[in-house]
Amino acid sequence: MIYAKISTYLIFLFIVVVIWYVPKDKLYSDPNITVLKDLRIWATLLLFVQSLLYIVF
Amino acid sequence: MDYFFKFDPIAVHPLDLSLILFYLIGILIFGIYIGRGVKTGEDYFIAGRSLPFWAVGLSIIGSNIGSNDYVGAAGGAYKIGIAQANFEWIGAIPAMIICAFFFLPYYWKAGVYSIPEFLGLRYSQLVRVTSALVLSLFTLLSVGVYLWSTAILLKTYLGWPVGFSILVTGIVVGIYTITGGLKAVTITDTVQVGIMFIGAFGLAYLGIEKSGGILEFTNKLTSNHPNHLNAFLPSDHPNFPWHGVILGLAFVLSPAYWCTNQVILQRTLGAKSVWDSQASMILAALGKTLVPFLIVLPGLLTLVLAPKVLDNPDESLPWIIRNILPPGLSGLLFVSFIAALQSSVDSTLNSAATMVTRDIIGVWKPETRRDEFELSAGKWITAIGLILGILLAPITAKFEGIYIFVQTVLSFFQGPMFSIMLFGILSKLPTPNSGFIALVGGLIFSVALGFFGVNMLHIAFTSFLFSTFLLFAFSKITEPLPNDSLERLTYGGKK
Repeated sequence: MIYAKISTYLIFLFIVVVIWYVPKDKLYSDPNITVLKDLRIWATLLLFVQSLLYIVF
Repeated sequence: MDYFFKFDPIAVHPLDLSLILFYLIGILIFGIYIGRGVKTGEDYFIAGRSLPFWAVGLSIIGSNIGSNDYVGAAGGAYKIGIAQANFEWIGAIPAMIICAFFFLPYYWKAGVYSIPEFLGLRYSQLVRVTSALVLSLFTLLSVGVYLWSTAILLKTYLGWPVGFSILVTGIVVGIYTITGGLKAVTITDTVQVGIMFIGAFGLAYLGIEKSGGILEFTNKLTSNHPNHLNAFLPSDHPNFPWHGVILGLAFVLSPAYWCTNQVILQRTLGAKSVWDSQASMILAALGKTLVPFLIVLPGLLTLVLAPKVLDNPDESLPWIIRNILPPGLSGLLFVSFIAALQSSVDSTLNSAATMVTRDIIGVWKPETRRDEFELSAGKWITAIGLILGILLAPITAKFEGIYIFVQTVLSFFQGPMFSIMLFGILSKLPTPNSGFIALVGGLIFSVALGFFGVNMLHIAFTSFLFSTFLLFAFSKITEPLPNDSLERLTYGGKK
Protein backbone atom coordinates (compact mmCIF):
# COMPACT_ATOMS: atom_id res chain seq x y z
CA MET A 1 0.00 0.00 0.00
CA ILE A 2 3.04 2.22 0.05
CA TYR A 3 2.33 3.20 -3.58
CA ALA A 4 -1.12 4.40 -2.57
CA LYS A 5 0.39 6.67 0.11
CA ILE A 6 3.07 7.95 -2.26
CA SER A 7 0.41 8.70 -4.91
CA THR A 8 -1.66 10.56 -2.32
CA TYR A 9 1.26 12.74 -1.22
CA LEU A 10 2.16 13.41 -4.86
CA ILE A 11 -1.39 14.63 -5.51
CA PHE A 12 -1.19 16.95 -2.49
CA LEU A 13 2.25 18.19 -3.53
CA PHE A 14 1.07 18.77 -7.11
CA ILE A 15 -1.82 20.93 -5.89
CA VAL A 16 0.40 22.97 -3.57
CA VAL A 17 2.92 23.57 -6.37
CA VAL A 18 0.21 24.53 -8.86
CA ILE A 19 -1.61 27.02 -6.60
CA TRP A 20 1.65 28.74 -5.63
CA TYR A 21 3.16 28.60 -9.14
CA VAL A 22 0.23 30.13 -11.01
CA PRO A 23 0.41 33.96 -10.95
CA LYS A 24 -1.74 35.52 -8.21
CA ASP A 25 -3.71 37.62 -10.69
CA LYS A 26 -4.91 34.43 -12.40
CA LEU A 27 -6.31 33.10 -9.12
CA TYR A 28 -7.97 36.19 -7.68
CA SER A 29 -9.89 39.15 -9.01
CA ASP A 30 -7.95 41.37 -6.63
CA PRO A 31 -4.27 40.37 -6.57
CA ASN A 32 -3.59 42.77 -3.65
CA ILE A 33 -5.32 40.42 -1.29
CA THR A 34 -4.38 40.39 2.44
CA VAL A 35 -2.50 37.46 3.96
CA LEU A 36 -5.55 36.41 5.96
CA LYS A 37 -7.70 36.34 2.83
CA ASP A 38 -5.05 34.59 0.72
CA LEU A 39 -6.77 31.25 0.20
CA ARG A 40 -3.54 29.61 -0.98
CA ILE A 41 -2.32 29.67 2.63
CA TRP A 42 -5.52 28.07 3.93
CA ALA A 43 -5.48 25.45 1.17
CA THR A 44 -1.87 24.56 1.94
CA LEU A 45 -2.65 24.21 5.65
CA LEU A 46 -5.60 22.02 4.81
CA LEU A 47 -3.45 19.72 2.68
CA PHE A 48 -0.87 19.58 5.48
CA VAL A 49 -3.59 18.37 7.86
CA GLN A 50 -4.67 15.83 5.24
CA SER A 51 -1.08 14.59 4.97
CA LEU A 52 -0.98 14.05 8.73
CA LEU A 53 -4.21 12.07 8.57
CA TYR A 54 -2.77 9.83 5.85
CA ILE A 55 0.37 9.32 7.96
CA VAL A 56 -1.81 8.20 10.90
CA PHE A 57 -4.06 5.97 8.79
CA MET B 1 -54.47 4.18 4.79
CA ASP B 2 -51.96 2.49 7.12
CA TYR B 3 -49.30 4.06 4.91
CA PHE B 4 -50.31 7.49 6.24
CA PHE B 5 -51.99 6.97 9.60
CA LYS B 6 -50.76 3.77 11.30
CA PHE B 7 -48.41 4.96 14.05
CA ASP B 8 -46.50 2.01 15.56
CA PRO B 9 -46.48 1.93 19.37
CA ILE B 10 -42.74 2.60 19.74
CA ALA B 11 -41.77 4.29 22.97
CA VAL B 12 -40.22 7.64 22.14
CA HIS B 13 -38.97 9.78 24.97
CA PRO B 14 -41.05 12.99 25.20
CA LEU B 15 -37.84 15.03 25.10
CA ASP B 16 -36.84 13.47 21.75
CA LEU B 17 -40.31 14.00 20.29
CA SER B 18 -40.39 17.61 21.47
CA LEU B 19 -37.00 18.28 19.86
CA ILE B 20 -38.18 16.88 16.53
CA LEU B 21 -41.42 18.87 16.52
CA PHE B 22 -39.63 22.03 17.66
CA TYR B 23 -37.11 21.63 14.83
CA LEU B 24 -39.75 21.02 12.13
CA ILE B 25 -41.81 24.06 13.12
CA GLY B 26 -38.75 26.23 13.77
CA ILE B 27 -37.02 25.53 10.45
CA LEU B 28 -40.26 26.18 8.57
CA ILE B 29 -40.76 29.60 10.16
CA PHE B 30 -37.06 30.46 9.83
CA GLY B 31 -36.98 29.42 6.15
CA ILE B 32 -40.05 31.49 5.29
CA TYR B 33 -38.61 34.50 7.18
CA ILE B 34 -35.23 34.29 5.41
CA GLY B 35 -36.77 33.80 1.99
CA ARG B 36 -39.07 36.83 2.05
CA GLY B 37 -38.41 39.57 -0.49
CA VAL B 38 -37.68 37.35 -3.50
CA LYS B 39 -38.75 39.46 -6.47
CA THR B 40 -36.73 38.36 -9.50
CA GLY B 41 -35.41 35.22 -11.13
CA GLU B 42 -31.91 36.24 -10.04
CA ASP B 43 -33.11 36.46 -6.40
CA TYR B 44 -34.75 33.09 -6.67
CA PHE B 45 -32.07 31.07 -8.46
CA ILE B 46 -28.82 32.66 -7.22
CA ALA B 47 -30.00 34.68 -4.19
CA GLY B 48 -29.33 37.98 -5.98
CA ARG B 49 -25.62 37.19 -5.61
CA SER B 50 -25.67 38.27 -1.99
CA LEU B 51 -24.45 35.24 -0.02
CA PRO B 52 -21.40 35.42 2.30
CA PHE B 53 -18.72 32.72 2.09
CA TRP B 54 -19.50 31.09 5.45
CA ALA B 55 -23.14 30.50 4.55
CA VAL B 56 -22.25 29.10 1.14
CA GLY B 57 -19.50 26.90 2.63
CA LEU B 58 -21.76 25.36 5.27
CA SER B 59 -24.52 24.95 2.70
CA ILE B 60 -22.14 23.01 0.44
CA ILE B 61 -21.51 20.52 3.27
CA GLY B 62 -25.25 20.25 3.99
CA SER B 63 -26.10 19.65 0.36
CA ASN B 64 -23.34 17.07 0.07
CA ILE B 65 -24.31 14.93 3.08
CA GLY B 66 -27.70 13.26 2.80
CA SER B 67 -29.42 11.20 5.46
CA ASN B 68 -28.64 8.07 3.45
CA ASP B 69 -24.93 9.01 3.61
CA TYR B 70 -25.12 8.81 7.39
CA VAL B 71 -26.40 5.26 7.24
CA GLY B 72 -24.36 4.16 4.20
CA ALA B 73 -21.02 5.59 5.37
CA ALA B 74 -21.38 4.08 8.85
CA GLY B 75 -22.26 0.75 7.23
CA GLY B 76 -19.28 1.07 4.87
CA ALA B 77 -16.94 1.79 7.79
CA TYR B 78 -18.32 -1.24 9.65
CA LYS B 79 -17.40 -3.37 6.61
CA ILE B 80 -14.14 -1.89 5.30
CA GLY B 81 -12.97 0.45 8.07
CA ILE B 82 -11.45 3.91 7.79
CA ALA B 83 -10.93 3.37 4.02
CA GLN B 84 -14.52 4.62 3.78
CA ALA B 85 -13.15 8.06 4.70
CA ASN B 86 -11.38 8.27 1.33
CA PHE B 87 -14.67 9.51 -0.11
CA GLU B 88 -14.36 12.57 2.15
CA TRP B 89 -10.56 13.06 2.06
CA ILE B 90 -8.57 12.12 -1.05
CA GLY B 91 -11.90 11.71 -2.84
CA ALA B 92 -13.01 15.29 -2.13
CA ILE B 93 -10.51 17.77 -0.71
CA PRO B 94 -7.97 18.00 -3.58
CA ALA B 95 -10.84 18.41 -6.04
CA MET B 96 -12.48 21.08 -3.90
CA ILE B 97 -9.24 23.08 -3.78
CA ILE B 98 -8.81 22.78 -7.55
CA CYS B 99 -12.43 23.85 -8.00
CA ALA B 100 -11.94 26.90 -5.76
CA PHE B 101 -8.92 28.18 -7.65
CA PHE B 102 -9.44 27.08 -11.24
CA PHE B 103 -13.17 26.63 -11.87
CA LEU B 104 -15.21 28.89 -9.61
CA PRO B 105 -13.66 32.19 -10.81
CA TYR B 106 -14.69 31.36 -14.40
CA TYR B 107 -18.20 30.26 -13.44
CA TRP B 108 -18.82 33.29 -11.23
CA LYS B 109 -17.39 35.84 -13.67
CA ALA B 110 -19.36 34.34 -16.58
CA GLY B 111 -22.51 35.43 -14.70
CA VAL B 112 -24.23 32.08 -15.25
CA TYR B 113 -26.96 30.54 -13.09
CA SER B 114 -25.95 26.94 -13.75
CA ILE B 115 -23.13 24.68 -14.91
CA PRO B 116 -24.99 23.63 -18.09
CA GLU B 117 -25.37 27.36 -18.88
CA PHE B 118 -21.58 27.73 -18.67
CA LEU B 119 -21.19 24.75 -21.02
CA GLY B 120 -23.66 26.47 -23.35
CA LEU B 121 -21.45 29.58 -23.46
CA ARG B 122 -18.22 27.61 -23.83
CA TYR B 123 -19.51 25.06 -26.35
CA SER B 124 -23.07 25.11 -27.68
CA GLN B 125 -26.73 25.06 -26.68
CA LEU B 126 -26.81 21.35 -27.61
CA VAL B 127 -24.20 20.57 -24.95
CA ARG B 128 -26.10 22.78 -22.48
CA VAL B 129 -29.43 21.02 -23.00
CA THR B 130 -27.93 17.50 -23.03
CA SER B 131 -26.11 18.02 -19.73
CA ALA B 132 -29.13 19.79 -18.17
CA LEU B 133 -31.44 16.88 -19.15
CA VAL B 134 -29.21 14.19 -17.60
CA LEU B 135 -28.52 16.20 -14.43
CA SER B 136 -32.18 17.23 -13.94
CA LEU B 137 -33.44 13.67 -14.33
CA PHE B 138 -30.94 12.46 -11.76
CA THR B 139 -31.66 15.23 -9.28
CA LEU B 140 -35.43 14.72 -9.44
CA LEU B 141 -35.11 10.99 -8.83
CA SER B 142 -32.75 11.74 -5.94
CA VAL B 143 -35.52 13.65 -4.15
CA GLY B 144 -37.65 10.49 -4.04
CA VAL B 145 -34.77 8.42 -2.71
CA TYR B 146 -33.87 10.98 -0.02
CA LEU B 147 -37.48 11.18 1.19
CA TRP B 148 -37.92 7.42 1.24
CA SER B 149 -34.69 6.61 3.12
CA THR B 150 -35.46 9.14 5.85
CA ALA B 151 -39.06 7.97 6.14
CA ILE B 152 -37.82 4.41 6.73
CA LEU B 153 -35.56 5.63 9.54
CA LEU B 154 -38.41 7.58 11.14
CA LYS B 155 -40.70 4.58 10.88
CA THR B 156 -38.14 2.26 12.47
CA TYR B 157 -37.20 4.48 15.37
CA LEU B 158 -40.19 6.72 15.97
CA GLY B 159 -42.96 4.51 14.64
CA TRP B 160 -44.20 7.16 12.23
CA PRO B 161 -45.99 5.82 9.12
CA VAL B 162 -43.88 6.10 5.96
CA GLY B 163 -46.41 8.22 4.05
CA PHE B 164 -46.85 10.58 6.99
CA SER B 165 -43.07 11.03 7.36
CA ILE B 166 -42.60 11.71 3.64
CA LEU B 167 -45.44 14.25 3.63
CA VAL B 168 -44.33 16.10 6.77
CA THR B 169 -40.64 16.38 5.86
CA GLY B 170 -41.47 17.09 2.18
CA ILE B 171 -44.03 19.79 2.96
CA VAL B 172 -41.81 21.58 5.48
CA VAL B 173 -38.85 21.68 3.11
CA GLY B 174 -41.09 22.40 0.12
CA ILE B 175 -42.75 25.50 1.58
CA TYR B 176 -39.57 27.44 2.27
CA THR B 177 -37.78 26.19 -0.87
CA ILE B 178 -40.69 27.15 -3.13
CA THR B 179 -41.21 30.57 -1.58
CA GLY B 180 -37.65 31.56 -0.71
CA GLY B 181 -35.43 30.05 -3.42
CA LEU B 182 -31.67 29.76 -3.01
CA LYS B 183 -31.33 32.25 -0.14
CA ALA B 184 -33.77 30.36 2.07
CA VAL B 185 -32.15 27.09 1.05
CA THR B 186 -28.62 28.26 1.86
CA ILE B 187 -29.33 29.93 5.19
CA THR B 188 -31.48 27.05 6.47
CA ASP B 189 -28.68 24.69 5.36
CA THR B 190 -26.27 26.46 7.72
CA VAL B 191 -28.61 25.79 10.68
CA GLN B 192 -29.07 22.20 9.56
CA VAL B 193 -25.32 21.60 9.25
CA GLY B 194 -24.83 23.03 12.76
CA ILE B 195 -27.37 20.55 14.11
CA MET B 196 -25.77 17.68 12.19
CA PHE B 197 -22.33 18.45 13.64
CA ILE B 198 -23.59 18.86 17.23
CA GLY B 199 -25.51 15.56 17.06
CA ALA B 200 -22.63 13.64 15.50
CA PHE B 201 -19.97 15.05 17.83
CA GLY B 202 -22.12 14.07 20.79
CA LEU B 203 -22.40 10.55 19.40
CA ALA B 204 -18.63 10.32 18.78
CA TYR B 205 -17.80 11.58 22.28
CA LEU B 206 -20.17 9.22 24.09
CA GLY B 207 -19.21 6.27 21.90
CA ILE B 208 -15.50 6.69 22.53
CA GLU B 209 -16.09 7.23 26.24
CA LYS B 210 -18.12 4.02 26.37
CA SER B 211 -15.28 2.18 24.58
CA GLY B 212 -12.88 3.21 27.36
CA GLY B 213 -11.16 6.13 25.64
CA ILE B 214 -9.40 6.60 22.32
CA LEU B 215 -6.47 4.23 22.98
CA GLU B 216 -8.70 1.45 24.26
CA PHE B 217 -11.02 1.97 21.30
CA THR B 218 -8.19 1.66 18.73
CA ASN B 219 -6.70 -1.35 20.54
CA LYS B 220 -10.03 -3.20 20.58
CA LEU B 221 -10.69 -2.30 16.94
CA THR B 222 -7.31 -3.36 15.54
CA SER B 223 -7.05 -6.54 17.60
CA ASN B 224 -10.10 -8.00 15.85
CA HIS B 225 -9.94 -6.06 12.57
CA PRO B 226 -6.29 -5.28 11.84
CA ASN B 227 -6.99 -3.51 8.51
CA HIS B 228 -9.82 -1.30 9.74
CA LEU B 229 -7.51 1.63 10.46
CA ASN B 230 -5.75 1.43 7.06
CA ALA B 231 -6.85 4.15 4.67
CA PHE B 232 -6.06 2.08 1.58
CA LEU B 233 -7.16 -1.44 0.71
CA PRO B 234 -5.15 -4.01 -1.30
CA SER B 235 -5.11 -3.85 -5.10
CA ASP B 236 -7.18 -7.05 -5.33
CA HIS B 237 -10.03 -5.68 -3.19
CA PRO B 238 -13.27 -6.24 -5.20
CA ASN B 239 -14.83 -2.82 -4.62
CA PHE B 240 -12.18 -0.35 -3.46
CA PRO B 241 -8.73 -1.33 -4.78
CA TRP B 242 -6.28 1.47 -3.94
CA HIS B 243 -5.42 2.20 -7.58
CA GLY B 244 -9.11 2.56 -8.38
CA VAL B 245 -9.44 4.99 -5.49
CA ILE B 246 -6.51 7.09 -6.73
CA LEU B 247 -7.16 6.96 -10.49
CA GLY B 248 -10.96 6.74 -10.60
CA LEU B 249 -12.04 8.54 -7.44
CA ALA B 250 -9.31 11.14 -6.85
CA PHE B 251 -8.53 11.94 -10.48
CA VAL B 252 -11.94 11.77 -12.15
CA LEU B 253 -15.08 11.07 -10.10
CA SER B 254 -14.25 13.50 -7.34
CA PRO B 255 -13.20 16.44 -9.57
CA ALA B 256 -16.18 15.71 -11.82
CA TYR B 257 -18.50 15.88 -8.82
CA TRP B 258 -16.97 18.91 -7.10
CA CYS B 259 -16.21 20.93 -10.23
CA THR B 260 -19.33 20.24 -12.30
CA ASN B 261 -22.21 19.26 -9.97
CA GLN B 262 -25.00 21.79 -10.21
CA VAL B 263 -26.53 20.94 -6.81
CA ILE B 264 -23.23 21.72 -5.10
CA LEU B 265 -22.11 24.66 -7.18
CA GLN B 266 -25.35 26.63 -7.46
CA ARG B 267 -24.83 28.31 -4.07
CA THR B 268 -21.28 29.35 -5.05
CA LEU B 269 -22.78 31.19 -8.03
CA GLY B 270 -24.92 33.11 -5.53
CA ALA B 271 -21.88 34.26 -3.50
CA LYS B 272 -21.50 38.03 -3.23
CA SER B 273 -18.01 38.10 -4.80
CA VAL B 274 -15.57 35.83 -6.60
CA TRP B 275 -13.50 35.63 -3.41
CA ASP B 276 -16.55 34.63 -1.33
CA SER B 277 -17.30 31.92 -3.86
CA GLN B 278 -13.71 30.59 -3.68
CA ALA B 279 -13.47 30.90 0.12
CA SER B 280 -16.75 29.02 0.54
CA MET B 281 -15.28 25.98 -1.18
CA ILE B 282 -12.13 26.07 0.96
CA LEU B 283 -14.30 26.34 4.09
CA ALA B 284 -16.37 23.38 2.90
CA ALA B 285 -13.12 21.42 2.33
CA LEU B 286 -12.16 22.13 5.94
CA GLY B 287 -15.56 20.77 6.99
CA LYS B 288 -15.04 17.67 4.86
CA THR B 289 -11.87 16.90 6.83
CA LEU B 290 -14.08 16.48 9.90
CA VAL B 291 -16.99 14.71 8.21
CA PRO B 292 -15.54 11.14 8.56
CA PHE B 293 -15.52 11.61 12.32
CA LEU B 294 -19.25 12.21 12.05
CA ILE B 295 -20.40 9.62 9.53
CA VAL B 296 -17.61 7.00 9.47
CA LEU B 297 -16.69 6.80 13.16
CA PRO B 298 -20.14 5.48 14.25
CA GLY B 299 -19.56 2.38 12.09
CA LEU B 300 -16.21 1.71 13.80
CA LEU B 301 -17.70 2.35 17.24
CA THR B 302 -20.45 -0.19 16.59
CA LEU B 303 -17.82 -2.73 15.58
CA VAL B 304 -16.17 -2.30 18.99
CA LEU B 305 -19.26 -1.91 21.16
CA ALA B 306 -21.80 -4.32 19.65
CA PRO B 307 -21.67 -7.69 21.44
CA LYS B 308 -22.25 -9.67 18.22
CA VAL B 309 -21.73 -9.19 14.49
CA LEU B 310 -24.60 -7.35 12.81
CA ASP B 311 -26.34 -9.12 9.92
CA ASN B 312 -26.61 -5.89 7.93
CA PRO B 313 -23.74 -3.37 8.23
CA ASP B 314 -26.20 -0.53 7.50
CA GLU B 315 -27.76 -1.29 10.88
CA SER B 316 -24.64 -0.03 12.63
CA LEU B 317 -25.74 3.59 13.03
CA PRO B 318 -29.28 2.73 14.21
CA TRP B 319 -27.72 0.23 16.64
CA ILE B 320 -25.47 2.81 18.21
CA ILE B 321 -28.24 5.42 18.47
CA ARG B 322 -30.49 2.93 20.21
CA ASN B 323 -27.84 1.60 22.58
CA ILE B 324 -25.51 4.49 23.35
CA LEU B 325 -27.34 7.79 23.21
CA PRO B 326 -29.39 9.14 26.12
CA PRO B 327 -32.79 10.81 25.58
CA GLY B 328 -32.31 14.29 24.23
CA LEU B 329 -29.16 13.42 22.31
CA SER B 330 -30.90 10.64 20.39
CA GLY B 331 -33.65 13.16 19.56
CA LEU B 332 -30.98 15.57 18.38
CA LEU B 333 -29.54 12.88 16.14
CA PHE B 334 -32.98 12.20 14.67
CA VAL B 335 -33.28 15.91 14.06
CA SER B 336 -29.89 15.84 12.35
CA PHE B 337 -31.15 13.02 10.07
CA ILE B 338 -34.12 15.13 9.09
CA ALA B 339 -31.84 18.17 8.71
CA ALA B 340 -29.51 16.19 6.45
CA LEU B 341 -32.46 15.13 4.35
CA GLN B 342 -33.86 18.62 4.10
CA SER B 343 -30.55 20.28 3.26
CA SER B 344 -30.11 17.83 0.38
CA VAL B 345 -33.71 17.96 -0.84
CA ASP B 346 -33.97 21.77 -0.83
CA SER B 347 -30.68 22.13 -2.74
CA THR B 348 -31.66 19.43 -5.22
CA LEU B 349 -35.07 20.97 -5.91
CA ASN B 350 -33.65 24.45 -6.34
CA SER B 351 -30.95 23.34 -8.77
CA ALA B 352 -33.34 21.16 -10.78
CA ALA B 353 -35.74 24.12 -11.06
CA THR B 354 -32.89 26.33 -12.30
CA MET B 355 -31.81 23.87 -14.98
CA VAL B 356 -35.33 23.05 -16.18
CA THR B 357 -36.40 26.72 -16.27
CA ARG B 358 -33.31 28.23 -17.86
CA ASP B 359 -31.36 25.46 -19.57
CA ILE B 360 -34.22 23.41 -21.01
CA ILE B 361 -37.35 25.62 -21.31
CA GLY B 362 -35.28 28.79 -21.82
CA VAL B 363 -33.35 27.25 -24.73
CA TRP B 364 -36.37 25.49 -26.19
CA LYS B 365 -38.54 28.65 -26.03
CA PRO B 366 -36.24 31.70 -25.89
CA GLU B 367 -39.23 34.04 -25.52
CA THR B 368 -39.63 32.74 -21.93
CA ARG B 369 -36.36 34.33 -20.81
CA ARG B 370 -38.14 37.05 -18.85
CA ASP B 371 -37.65 37.74 -15.18
CA GLU B 372 -41.29 37.37 -14.15
CA PHE B 373 -41.70 34.14 -16.13
CA GLU B 374 -38.51 32.64 -14.71
CA LEU B 375 -39.52 33.48 -11.13
CA SER B 376 -42.97 32.00 -11.54
CA ALA B 377 -41.74 28.97 -13.54
CA GLY B 378 -38.99 28.36 -10.96
CA LYS B 379 -41.57 28.19 -8.15
CA TRP B 380 -43.89 25.94 -10.13
CA ILE B 381 -41.12 23.58 -11.19
CA THR B 382 -39.85 23.36 -7.61
CA ALA B 383 -43.38 22.46 -6.47
CA ILE B 384 -43.83 19.91 -9.26
CA GLY B 385 -40.38 18.44 -8.50
CA LEU B 386 -41.34 18.02 -4.86
CA ILE B 387 -44.70 16.42 -5.69
CA LEU B 388 -42.96 14.07 -8.14
CA GLY B 389 -40.39 13.24 -5.45
CA ILE B 390 -43.15 12.47 -2.92
CA LEU B 391 -44.98 10.28 -5.46
CA LEU B 392 -41.78 8.62 -6.71
CA ALA B 393 -40.46 7.88 -3.21
CA PRO B 394 -42.30 4.56 -2.75
CA ILE B 395 -41.68 3.63 -6.40
CA THR B 396 -37.91 4.17 -6.15
CA ALA B 397 -37.96 1.84 -3.16
CA LYS B 398 -39.98 -0.85 -4.96
CA PHE B 399 -37.94 -0.59 -8.14
CA GLU B 400 -34.54 0.11 -6.65
CA GLY B 401 -33.09 -0.82 -10.03
CA ILE B 402 -34.44 2.42 -11.58
CA TYR B 403 -32.49 4.58 -9.19
CA ILE B 404 -29.35 2.47 -9.48
CA PHE B 405 -29.66 2.64 -13.27
CA VAL B 406 -29.92 6.44 -13.28
CA GLN B 407 -27.12 6.73 -10.73
CA THR B 408 -24.97 4.48 -12.90
CA VAL B 409 -25.70 6.59 -15.98
CA LEU B 410 -24.69 9.67 -14.00
CA SER B 411 -21.38 8.02 -13.08
CA PHE B 412 -20.89 7.14 -16.75
CA PHE B 413 -21.55 10.79 -17.51
CA GLN B 414 -19.05 12.22 -15.04
CA GLY B 415 -15.77 11.32 -16.81
CA PRO B 416 -16.87 12.90 -20.13
CA MET B 417 -18.48 15.89 -18.36
CA PHE B 418 -15.32 16.62 -16.40
CA SER B 419 -13.18 16.26 -19.51
CA ILE B 420 -15.09 18.86 -21.52
CA MET B 421 -15.29 21.22 -18.56
CA LEU B 422 -11.62 20.93 -17.58
CA PHE B 423 -10.20 21.33 -21.07
CA GLY B 424 -12.88 23.81 -22.05
CA ILE B 425 -11.52 26.12 -19.35
CA LEU B 426 -7.82 25.31 -19.74
CA SER B 427 -7.65 25.49 -23.53
CA LYS B 428 -9.24 27.43 -26.38
CA LEU B 429 -8.81 24.49 -28.79
CA PRO B 430 -12.03 22.49 -28.06
CA THR B 431 -14.86 23.48 -30.42
CA PRO B 432 -18.66 23.36 -29.97
CA ASN B 433 -18.98 20.16 -32.02
CA SER B 434 -15.97 18.43 -30.47
CA GLY B 435 -17.48 19.18 -27.03
CA PHE B 436 -20.76 17.50 -27.96
CA ILE B 437 -19.00 14.51 -29.58
CA ALA B 438 -16.75 14.08 -26.52
CA LEU B 439 -19.75 14.24 -24.16
CA VAL B 440 -21.93 11.75 -26.03
CA GLY B 441 -19.05 9.57 -27.29
CA GLY B 442 -17.62 9.30 -23.78
CA LEU B 443 -21.02 8.36 -22.40
CA ILE B 444 -21.42 5.57 -24.98
CA PHE B 445 -17.88 4.36 -24.24
CA SER B 446 -18.66 4.24 -20.49
CA VAL B 447 -21.86 2.28 -21.09
CA ALA B 448 -19.93 -0.22 -23.23
CA LEU B 449 -17.33 -0.71 -20.47
CA GLY B 450 -20.12 -1.06 -17.90
CA PHE B 451 -21.70 -3.74 -20.11
CA PHE B 452 -18.46 -5.75 -19.89
CA GLY B 453 -18.44 -5.48 -16.10
CA VAL B 454 -15.48 -3.13 -15.71
CA ASN B 455 -15.10 -1.62 -12.20
CA MET B 456 -16.91 1.74 -11.91
CA LEU B 457 -13.80 3.56 -10.67
CA HIS B 458 -11.83 2.36 -13.72
CA ILE B 459 -14.68 3.29 -16.08
CA ALA B 460 -14.54 6.86 -14.78
CA PHE B 461 -10.83 7.16 -15.51
CA THR B 462 -10.84 5.53 -18.95
CA SER B 463 -13.96 7.38 -20.14
CA PHE B 464 -12.30 10.63 -19.09
CA LEU B 465 -9.24 9.74 -21.22
CA PHE B 466 -11.41 8.64 -24.15
CA SER B 467 -13.50 11.83 -24.07
CA THR B 468 -10.35 13.93 -23.89
CA PHE B 469 -9.03 12.15 -26.97
CA LEU B 470 -12.31 12.80 -28.85
CA LEU B 471 -12.39 16.41 -27.66
CA PHE B 472 -8.99 17.26 -29.12
CA ALA B 473 -9.16 14.95 -32.15
CA PHE B 474 -12.43 16.48 -33.39
CA SER B 475 -11.36 20.01 -32.51
CA LYS B 476 -8.88 19.74 -35.41
CA ILE B 477 -11.63 19.20 -37.98
CA THR B 478 -14.55 21.23 -36.62
CA GLU B 479 -15.27 24.96 -36.53
CA PRO B 480 -14.00 26.77 -33.38
CA LEU B 481 -15.80 29.59 -31.58
CA PRO B 482 -14.53 33.11 -32.29
CA ASN B 483 -11.61 33.99 -30.02
CA ASP B 484 -13.47 36.99 -28.53
CA SER B 485 -16.29 34.89 -27.11
CA LEU B 486 -13.78 32.67 -25.26
CA GLU B 487 -11.87 35.47 -23.55
CA ARG B 488 -13.75 35.39 -20.22
CA LEU B 489 -14.37 31.65 -20.27
CA THR B 490 -10.89 30.20 -20.62
CA TYR B 491 -7.61 30.27 -18.73
CA GLY B 492 -5.26 32.90 -20.12
CA GLY B 493 -8.10 35.07 -21.38
CA LYS B 494 -8.86 38.62 -20.25
CA LYS B 495 -9.99 38.99 -16.64
